[in-house]
Amino acid sequence: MTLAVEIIVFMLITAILTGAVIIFNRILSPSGNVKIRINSGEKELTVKAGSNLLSALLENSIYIPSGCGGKGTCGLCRITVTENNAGALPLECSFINSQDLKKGVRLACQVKLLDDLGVSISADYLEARLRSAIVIQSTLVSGDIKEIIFETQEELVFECGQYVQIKVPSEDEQLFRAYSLASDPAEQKQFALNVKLIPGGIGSTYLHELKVGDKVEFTGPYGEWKLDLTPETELVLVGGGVGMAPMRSIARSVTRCIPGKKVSFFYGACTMDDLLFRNDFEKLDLDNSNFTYFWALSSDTNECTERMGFIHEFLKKELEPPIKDRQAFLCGPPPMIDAVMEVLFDKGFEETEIFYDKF
Amino acid sequence: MNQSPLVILFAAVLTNNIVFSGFLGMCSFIALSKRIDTAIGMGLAVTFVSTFTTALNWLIYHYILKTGALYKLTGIEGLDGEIFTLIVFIAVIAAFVQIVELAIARISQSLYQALGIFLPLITVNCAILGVSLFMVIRGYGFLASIAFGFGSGIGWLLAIFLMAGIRQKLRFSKISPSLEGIGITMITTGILAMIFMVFNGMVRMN
Ligand SMILES: Cc1cc2nc3c(=O)[nH]c(=O)nc-3n(C[C@H](O)[C@H](O)[C@H](O)COP(=O)(O)OP(=O)(O)OC[C@H]3O[C@@H](n4cnc5c(N)ncnc54)[C@H](O)[C@@H]3O)c2cc1C
Ligand code: FES
Repeated sequence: MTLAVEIIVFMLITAILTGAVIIFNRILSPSGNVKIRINSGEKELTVKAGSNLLSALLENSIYIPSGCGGKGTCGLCRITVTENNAGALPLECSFINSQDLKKGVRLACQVKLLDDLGVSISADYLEARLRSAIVIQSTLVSGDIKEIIFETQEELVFECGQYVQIKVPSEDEQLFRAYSLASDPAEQKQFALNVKLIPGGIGSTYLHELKVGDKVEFTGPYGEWKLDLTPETELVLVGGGVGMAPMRSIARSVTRCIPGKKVSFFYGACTMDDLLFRNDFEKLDLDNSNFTYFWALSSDTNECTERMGFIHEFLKKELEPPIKDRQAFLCGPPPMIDAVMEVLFDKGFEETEIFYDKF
Repeated sequence: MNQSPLVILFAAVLTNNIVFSGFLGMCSFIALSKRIDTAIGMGLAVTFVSTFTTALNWLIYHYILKTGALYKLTGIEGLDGEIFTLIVFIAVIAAFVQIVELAIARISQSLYQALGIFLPLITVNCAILGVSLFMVIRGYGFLASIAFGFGSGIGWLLAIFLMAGIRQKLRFSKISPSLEGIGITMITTGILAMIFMVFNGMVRMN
């Protein structure tokens, strides 16, 4: 008898505590809908509270770029929150500089929808549509990198250095991965991607398994690289690994359209086998007096020790002092970009003259 | 035994600081003392939880669990809830932390992300349970218990705040590689504990 009463008392206490948690959960967790006002009222979305801004926008067919599926590691999903900005999270501060933070720039995947928001979204993002393309060629260009060429129904207008977002089929409805356009913008209904297979990677595995005739969905192009078209401006391109993809696009179109422009391409790879499209670039170098090709290998090489080293070390040695205006485009893994930036600043580059994509 | 709540508060913050004299709540103390803002956030959360859970636990203990309380409440001879004390205290703390977690997630995403897993881990922060248990052992009254819970929280806040300040400075000093990180933090904790011992003569807590 007493035992039973004691147990009942204990269970009552537990029940009251559980009840309290449930009630507070009801009160405190986001529920109902919130409104997202885009470009001060140009468009208004009503979405379910509690999710993040990125997935809410994607669900409403506003394709802002996102390279990491909302993990907050790619920094692509930048957006400006104009009303009700709750402040950037510690994670975001490594992608957004302090000036932009003050303006309200956030990573959309890290903005939790708790209250009504006002955001400003650039016109290209608002206009971006999901389009489809057919694989017309897929070739292995080195051990783990494939060049895949796609054909689109309508023209794809893009500039050098831009990238597209490929939709990767997955249970989680909206999964995208970013890939730089590696083809010449003049090829109007075609585009090429160079994709490195990441073991266990969802996106790269999907792309590597595509066969001729398969259909993919993509959005874009995106990217804010502003190539200076005047022939006097010198161009320095630095690529590492598959970071050569956008460089190839730039090199090919610049040498064709602006033959007078001085272009130096520095390419860092791990081993001889990773040295992508070496023949193409060497041919460009031979055919164009204004195009120079440097390469370096970071591991391997018994064959040619003078090419051994990191690409930023070569850049330091080979890059001549500035004569005219210059622009630099960098693409590759984050440590390479950081090291190269340092060298470029030493060589007198301004921040506005350097464009980069880390991946 | 019958110290005034103010003395208890003072003692809990300084002379009997829960970190530096009890060495309780060390894991989050070390894990979250890298940055001042996170440290203050965690300190406030701990203070809040420790104050309210001590008060709640006092009420539950004295009106329900204590030997004889259930008899008064129900009139049934031989009932004794004392045996449940530990499990009920833990349940109260767990429920309370969960509510605080919900509140912080709602109020400040950035604090929520900075505290990370250590916020739910307040549930098993031994400082918090320690405060409730000490309150029973030392036989504090209601007000004294609140003062003790609040003071211990503030004491923990003070400790982690000092530590975070020191660690932010340590980042720029040359430390032997074998001591970097946790090693030097442990040593600093020891030195701080010795400094806090100086307060010991001021008030005696039993
Ligand atoms: C602007 C931009 C342009 C890009 N252009 C290209 C391009 O032209 N060609 C190209 O191949 N990729 C490019 N990427 C990278 C690409 O978007 C994907 O991140 C990459 O293909 C991995 O995706 P996944 O889905 O296969 O791997 P995930 O499923 O996302 O990752 C699987 C695992 O691999 C790890 N991982 C992810 N990326 C790398 C990496 N680069 N090296 C080593 N480990 C990694 C992850 O941490 C994870 O543990 C670009 C990225 C950006 C942001
Ligand atoms: S989607 Fe990659 S940071 Fe937001």
